[in-house]
Amino acid sequence: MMCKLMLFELRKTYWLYTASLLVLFGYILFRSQPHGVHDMALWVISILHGYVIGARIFHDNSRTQAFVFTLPLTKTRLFSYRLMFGIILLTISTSIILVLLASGMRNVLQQDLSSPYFPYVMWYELRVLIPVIFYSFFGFAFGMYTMIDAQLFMYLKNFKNYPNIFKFLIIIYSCLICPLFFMILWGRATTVRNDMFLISIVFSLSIYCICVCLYFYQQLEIDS
Amino acid sequence: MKHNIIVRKSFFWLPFAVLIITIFFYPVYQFYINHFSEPESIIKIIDNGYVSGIDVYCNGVYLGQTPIEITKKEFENKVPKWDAPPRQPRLKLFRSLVETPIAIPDYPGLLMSYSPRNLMPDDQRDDIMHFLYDGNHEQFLNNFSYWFNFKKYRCAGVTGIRIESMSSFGFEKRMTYEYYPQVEFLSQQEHLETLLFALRHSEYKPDKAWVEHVRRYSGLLFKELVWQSNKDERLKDAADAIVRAEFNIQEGMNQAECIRVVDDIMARSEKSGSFLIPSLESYAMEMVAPQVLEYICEQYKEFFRSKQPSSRRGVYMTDDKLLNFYRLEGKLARKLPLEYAILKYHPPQIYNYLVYNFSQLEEQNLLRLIGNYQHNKSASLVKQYFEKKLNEERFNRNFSFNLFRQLYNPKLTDWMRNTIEMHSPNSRVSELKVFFESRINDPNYSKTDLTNDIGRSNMNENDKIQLLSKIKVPKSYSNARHILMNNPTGEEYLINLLSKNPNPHFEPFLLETLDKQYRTLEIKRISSSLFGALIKCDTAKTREAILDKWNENILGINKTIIHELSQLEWGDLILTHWTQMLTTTQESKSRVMAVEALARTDTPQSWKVIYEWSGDEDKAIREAALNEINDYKERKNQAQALIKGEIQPDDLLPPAVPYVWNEKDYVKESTGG
Repeated sequence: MMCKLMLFELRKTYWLYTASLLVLFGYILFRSQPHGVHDMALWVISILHGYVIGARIFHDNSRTQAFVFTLPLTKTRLFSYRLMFGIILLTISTSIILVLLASGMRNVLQQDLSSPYFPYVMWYELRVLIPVIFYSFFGFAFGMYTMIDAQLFMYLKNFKNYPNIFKFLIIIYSCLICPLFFMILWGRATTVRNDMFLISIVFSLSIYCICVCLYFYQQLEIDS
Repeated sequence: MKHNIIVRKSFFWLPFAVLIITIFFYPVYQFYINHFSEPESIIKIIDNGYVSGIDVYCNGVYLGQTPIEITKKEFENKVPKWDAPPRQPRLKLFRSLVETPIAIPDYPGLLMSYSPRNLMPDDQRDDIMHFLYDGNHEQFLNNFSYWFNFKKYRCAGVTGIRIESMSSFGFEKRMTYEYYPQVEFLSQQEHLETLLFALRHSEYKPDKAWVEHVRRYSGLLFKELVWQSNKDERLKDAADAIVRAEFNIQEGMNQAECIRVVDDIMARSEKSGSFLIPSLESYAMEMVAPQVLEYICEQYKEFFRSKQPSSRRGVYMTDDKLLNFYRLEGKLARKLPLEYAILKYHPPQIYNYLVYNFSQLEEQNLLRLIGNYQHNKSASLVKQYFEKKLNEERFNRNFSFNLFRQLYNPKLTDWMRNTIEMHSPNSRVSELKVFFESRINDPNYSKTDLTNDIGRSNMNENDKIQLLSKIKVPKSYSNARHILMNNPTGEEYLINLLSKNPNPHFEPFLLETLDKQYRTLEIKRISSSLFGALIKCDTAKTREAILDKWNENILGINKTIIHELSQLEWGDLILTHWTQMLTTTQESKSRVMAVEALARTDTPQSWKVIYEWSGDEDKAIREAALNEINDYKERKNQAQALIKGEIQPDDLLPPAVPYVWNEKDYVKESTGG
């Protein structure tokens, strides 16, 4: 049964996952500057990569919903399996990047002897894994969050529990405002030294996103 | 179950509650800070790096050693206000001709023991105008309530009146007054001369007491000693001995001991927040760094691993004496000596690390380190960076050209020169001049090429002549000659330059000018500086020419020659060539003058002559010789007493007349009381 679910998730995900992964690899392999933690473009690509995984896994249209809800699974367990599957996909992406960088693939592909940065020193460049891991995880959590968002409203609307709607709206918008707020507050003083601070915020946000989703699934299960 | 729900709910709500509270209350907090709270002001007293760790007193209260940081509140509690300007034990006037009763005709030319400051009220920034002197010194000086006094090793310092810089930070309305006193220590020169006198008389082999004495006063004396040793090779051993004693450096030290020295240097840098070149620390670093480059690189990498704030303030100063001064705050100052070692020895093991960090940080300081590695790649990195940046409108060009002066990479020299010419059309002349000046000591830039480049450049002719006169290759003279053909007034300028900075390659020019002036009898006009230049040029031909003119003695030229000789430094080797000539002086007035020159020669032969002259029939000669002998004895006693610690450096100064405030002005104590 679990295997069945995995195959099903894979079928939903693999096109967009492969496409976004190729973009990420392309960027990492062909950028002429050395890689580091401070790289906006890489942040955006990583977030998109994670978002694609999260959104595709947790999105159920009317046809697939019929299949998912016939499975003999509790809602919480379904959530855990999907979460685990997403994390496996992210681990695969990260591992491939690690192997590509550590095998010196960049030096093979970009033999620009006139470049002051050639040859690229792989042990320094492996730092790139820090933003890739954290930002793609954030993208994944955020993708999951947005997909649950629609279901959440439906659920709350059905029960006509207006105080609850208000409560969840605050949570949702806090989560949305959160990164924006910190970006603005710290953005002006953002140097490379502050990147790790930003990453820690992004990571805690990811955790909160996941917790909110888990809470929602638990509520769904209790109510049903 | 209920308990479980509460825990779960608080788990979700708490972080969001904190966030929302922060979002809503931060502006309220800011509003409160800006409108209701007392802004905190900070006073910073920072030395200019020339002498660091100066003791600061304000209105008689000791505040500590520079750099000092104190809040305004604490300062006001600690220091009582003075109603009237205090008694000034020492005043030094630069350009004032008026001695009494008005001591302050023009305050920028005045240095005083107690220099006045005022702490400006925060809400009246326009008051800064009150601090600009309008000619009424009575009102001006009565405005001040705080009077600062500076000392180093108990040596009195004097400083002028300056307006402090003021800055505020962030939302918090915090004001910072920064005060960079330019302190001059009056006894510094006299102190050094006395010690060099003692050194000369011990055959330039410093004894333990001498070394210990210089170590004790190293902050004031060491860099002066290094500059002297650049002119006089014999002093180099003494400078070496001081550094070895200070850091306990022996020949053939093992790695662990070298690491101890590097750690010691870093700790000193951290304490003073600065690093000075030349200094005891920079010298010691040069001695031990080649053996522990690996350790230095590892230590330097630590600064990228740890989360230090990346803000840095670096000050670079240069003058004839070549002083490099770098300042950083807190623990970051520890990296300054490491940077110096990397700059000096270019360890290959850290190159890639520097390049990688530069690609991430784009810090110009890293570019300074990378650019000095003499690879094609380091050059192309510098070019790439500046070609991109110089086209940006907001890029600070002057700061970049300042960086160019510190890059000694033959692969970059032509490119840097062209870039300066291209990108600084308004200030091209001075920027180029400063750049060429920095290349004079560049071992990788062929001096002949440099003279040709200077000749071809767009600088004005006087600047070209000034630079060429400093370059010691034959080609510099031929280039200068070419410029002089179109610029007749340049000759006089060149002679003046050569009398300060001699260049033996200009010997033909000096001899030609001498001949020409003798032929046209223009000798009176510039003879003094011409003879000064000839004496300092010190080649066989110039010596011969001077001797010829000495023998001819037209228009009393011998007095000019003696005068120029007596202007030379004590113990200058050039003087030893002229002992014979000076002893042949016959005329009474010339002999009196020659006594001083002979005394400055300070060799047994010269003293023998002075002793002979002390028994001369002519009273004037006899007195002059006796005076010099007495001075010599006194100096010898003073040097001994100074090294033993029986007298202080300030005791070497002639007694000063204190000035007191008579309600209106400063007057000499004896006259105005």
